[in-house]
Amino acid sequence: MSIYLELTSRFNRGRTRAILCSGQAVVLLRLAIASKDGDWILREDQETLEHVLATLESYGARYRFCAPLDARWLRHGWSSHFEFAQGGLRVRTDFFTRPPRVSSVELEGLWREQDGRDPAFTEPRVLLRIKQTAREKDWPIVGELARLLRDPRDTFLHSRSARDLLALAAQEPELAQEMTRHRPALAALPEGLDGLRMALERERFRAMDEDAARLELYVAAATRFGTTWRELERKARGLPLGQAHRLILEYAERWLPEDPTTAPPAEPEART
Amino acid sequence: MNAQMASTSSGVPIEPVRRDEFLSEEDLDLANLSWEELLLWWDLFLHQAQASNDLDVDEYSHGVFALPRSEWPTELRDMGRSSR
Repeated sequence: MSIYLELTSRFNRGRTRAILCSGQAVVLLRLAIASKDGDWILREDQETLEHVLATLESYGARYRFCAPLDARWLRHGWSSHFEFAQGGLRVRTDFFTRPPRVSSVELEGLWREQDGRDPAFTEPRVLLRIKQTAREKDWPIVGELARLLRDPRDTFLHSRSARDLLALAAQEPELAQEMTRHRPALAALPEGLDGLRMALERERFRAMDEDAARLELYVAAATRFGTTWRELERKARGLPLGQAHRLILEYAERWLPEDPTTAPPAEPEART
Repeated sequence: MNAQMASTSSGVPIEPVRRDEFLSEEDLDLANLSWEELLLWWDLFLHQAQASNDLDVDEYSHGVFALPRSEWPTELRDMGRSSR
């Protein structure tokens, strides 16, 4: 069994706490095997976070540089990252509770749909939102995920293929016109293949720029916390994950803003 | 090559569309693997992918640090690096 299925099963022992996401969910959708790390959407409650930490501790996991696995940061979009070795694999596990570009309504729907499923993993409509990143390599996957959608409204909203969209618009002209209000790139449908391709590319580059700007905000907000990380790592070395977590919380409470859009806390004091 | 069949809102089937070949022709036809075969190929991929561990030791695949470090602001690029 894949380590990522094993972890999902252990995270969800007793109740559904974690939904497998991104690259490993793409495997379960049978589109591609292309990612060696795992990430999960977690429920944003204390029991979930404690259960996941305890599970990771049982694998000997350690924190990577990141926000603590704590709802105070996760609710503002931060992510938490861990690593351990198992059976010749470097296993990286990444977590968040508020996936980017996914509305609270969509997220609630995902939890309802996946509750009790084994394995719980993200469905295409939510997954393609998450994959609309600043990285070129994610966009072919977005296009293939869009082709799994069955509702033509969803296809109009998310397809990356100008040919698919033109074919669908020829069969559904009224719906195409209606959906233009929700996706401005569709206004280029009357321009034909080249015009629509250009509009889709402009749309994609805009989305990539927006994602990059979002990430830059978090990296900048982590600057002061980052300057303390080596010291923190030294203190946490060899500690069980639960103890390391408490130490990281102490530092994060002081140096890492919960909301990255707020002013950063004061400079760290000189340390001996 | 896989074909996907979509339908219009009135239930009329749309012509099957050919998937973009972002994988090479030699790549697996994942849709038609048995569950056991999928698990085996998945595990094999994960083991083979370890070959690039040194290249991404300080990078993040997901989450808020997923920009390559080369694109982080200069003064931040070394923060949280592996202490190897």
